[in-house]
Amino acid sequence: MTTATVVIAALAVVVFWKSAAVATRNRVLGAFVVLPLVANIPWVKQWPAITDALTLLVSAAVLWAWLYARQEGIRKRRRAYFLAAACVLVMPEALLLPLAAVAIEGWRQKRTLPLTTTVRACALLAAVAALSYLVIHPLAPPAALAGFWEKLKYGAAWDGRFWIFSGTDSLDVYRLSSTYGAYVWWPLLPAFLALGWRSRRESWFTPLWSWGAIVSVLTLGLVAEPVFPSCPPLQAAMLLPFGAAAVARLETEFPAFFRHFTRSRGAGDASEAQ
Amino acid sequence: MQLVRLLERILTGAARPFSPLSRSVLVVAILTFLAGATFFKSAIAAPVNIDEMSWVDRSLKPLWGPPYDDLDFFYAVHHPSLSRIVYRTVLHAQGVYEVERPLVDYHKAPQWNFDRGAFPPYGVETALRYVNVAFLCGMAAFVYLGLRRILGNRALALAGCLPIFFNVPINNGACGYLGTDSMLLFWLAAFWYAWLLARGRGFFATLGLAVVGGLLVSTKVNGAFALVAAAAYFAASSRGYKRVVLPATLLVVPAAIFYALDPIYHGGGAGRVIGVMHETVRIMLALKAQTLSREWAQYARLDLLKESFPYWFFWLPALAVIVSARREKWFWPTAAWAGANVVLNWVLIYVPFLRYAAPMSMSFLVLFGATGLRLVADTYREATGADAGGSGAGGGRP
Repeated sequence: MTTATVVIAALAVVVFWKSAAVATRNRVLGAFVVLPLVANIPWVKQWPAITDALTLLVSAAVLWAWLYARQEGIRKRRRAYFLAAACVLVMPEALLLPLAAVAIEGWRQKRTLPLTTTVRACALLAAVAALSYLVIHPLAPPAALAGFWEKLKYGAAWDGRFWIFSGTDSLDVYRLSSTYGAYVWWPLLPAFLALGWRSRRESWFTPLWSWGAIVSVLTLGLVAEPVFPSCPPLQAAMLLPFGAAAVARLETEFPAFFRHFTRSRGAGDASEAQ
Repeated sequence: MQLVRLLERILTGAARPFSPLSRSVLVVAILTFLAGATFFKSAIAAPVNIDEMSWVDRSLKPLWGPPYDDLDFFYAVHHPSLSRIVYRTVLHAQGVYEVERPLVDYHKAPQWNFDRGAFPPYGVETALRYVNVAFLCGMAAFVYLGLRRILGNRALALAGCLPIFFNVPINNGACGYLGTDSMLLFWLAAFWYAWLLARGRGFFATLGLAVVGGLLVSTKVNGAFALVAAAAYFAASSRGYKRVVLPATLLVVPAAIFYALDPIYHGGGAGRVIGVMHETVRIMLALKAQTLSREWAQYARLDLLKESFPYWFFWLPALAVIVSARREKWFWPTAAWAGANVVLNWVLIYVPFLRYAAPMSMSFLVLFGATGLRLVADTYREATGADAGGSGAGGGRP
């Protein structure tokens, strides 16, 4: 089970890296963005935390599907919907995140995307979640449906402390990290928001920053006393948006250096930049 | 909406609703309130630390006499003398010349020591913690003055000070702990401000900076990191003979002050100095080996970074914010000062005590505050087309 945890977490990191590479238009820069997340995940910890790792993977997959649909245009949107449905099938508690993604994207593109399409996609996701909850997950009997809302709330409020703090081999360093609490980043936030504002016309801005905002708000709002250094999903929710905005800023500061790194902008960027 | 517009105009420097004197009084009142809500509260609320009795004892030992035993010698070389001098002065002013309490036995558990009364009396401990509060207030004042100089805006400078007041290592680590750390933070901030003033102003300004640097290294040897950075900066940025003279001043004058303030080095010429330094290094290495032999002190270098400098996680966005100000004249003094403090302290420490993390946090937050608030103000101006009236962020004196 520990091996499965590590494998799923590694998959999640790979998906985050792919998303960061899409946003930065370069695999190496994408790796730089996710590097702190890799350094913070307890790879050698002997503790099975498959649900936590799966939560991270589903969260990463939803982000990637969102970015993919955004970058590749309307033809690939169906594939993105199917990927989101697959995520919900595996983890019905995570329904709120893809639902929010579909709703935000539908609202953003209300001129080109019919409202019925967005509503159908939301209904499909809800149906898949219900199917998964009632049929595929036998431990959740239909009688427990009344408690599904609680599961939904806390399925979308990602807490990684259980994974990090549990077990006898939990290093002191993980326990000590609670010293800094959940809000260690607050002095940096205004400047990072300014970075984000400057990159608001990038094609990845809406998916990445909306996804980060949803995960951050739900975690900070619903989880009792989350600990930032021990919460990989919260870390990812801040790291990727800020990291992509940082790369965009560095590209404008050092264009000659970054010319060797990045490809020219794709069609998705050009359409978004209007 | 009127209030929002007024706040906006104050933040962009376009409106000045108070006279200069009123603004200064308001700033002092806000800084004092913040210090009361954070530093003062921490100083009162912090639990008794096992090291505090040692600091009371070493402060009351005669500083200028010869070391009579190994403990006297250890006290003299474990840390430079300035904090002992300050604590001793305060205790003598209170009429405290001796404390009849047992010393801490570090081989025993903390509770065992507390049970036998190995902690300072309440009045003594509180008085020395108030000394820490005073030095931390001074630190905040220098940070404010430096940011005010850089950003050219009192409101933004105050905003830049906020993270310093609410920083966990400074509040929970340095403030409520008797030792050198609060004074180190004060002198580090003073050194940064003096560096901003001395930049490009010739020999005598650099001499003043060197004097502050001397007091800095006489508080804690970690202060030498900022001195080395300053020497490298002046070597790189000066022209002609100053390329040698200014860095040499920054190395020789602090060394002379360090020597003058620490009598353990006196009375034996160069041989005595080298012998004491050799013995100091031996004692510090033995202390390190003794600490690292304990189970709780096993930390990899990356773990030390995670524990002592939590902002490392945002290295890429922080880098993007910081380098965006690289063309400002104040940038390199601030960046060199902060970079040396963060990197070299991280390399030096081997256990992540919060008080060891305080200089790293403070240095980073000052650099990030200066660059980040400038970016925020510039972004706001670009987004709204607001006119700073020549006195907004970035309009400060370099």
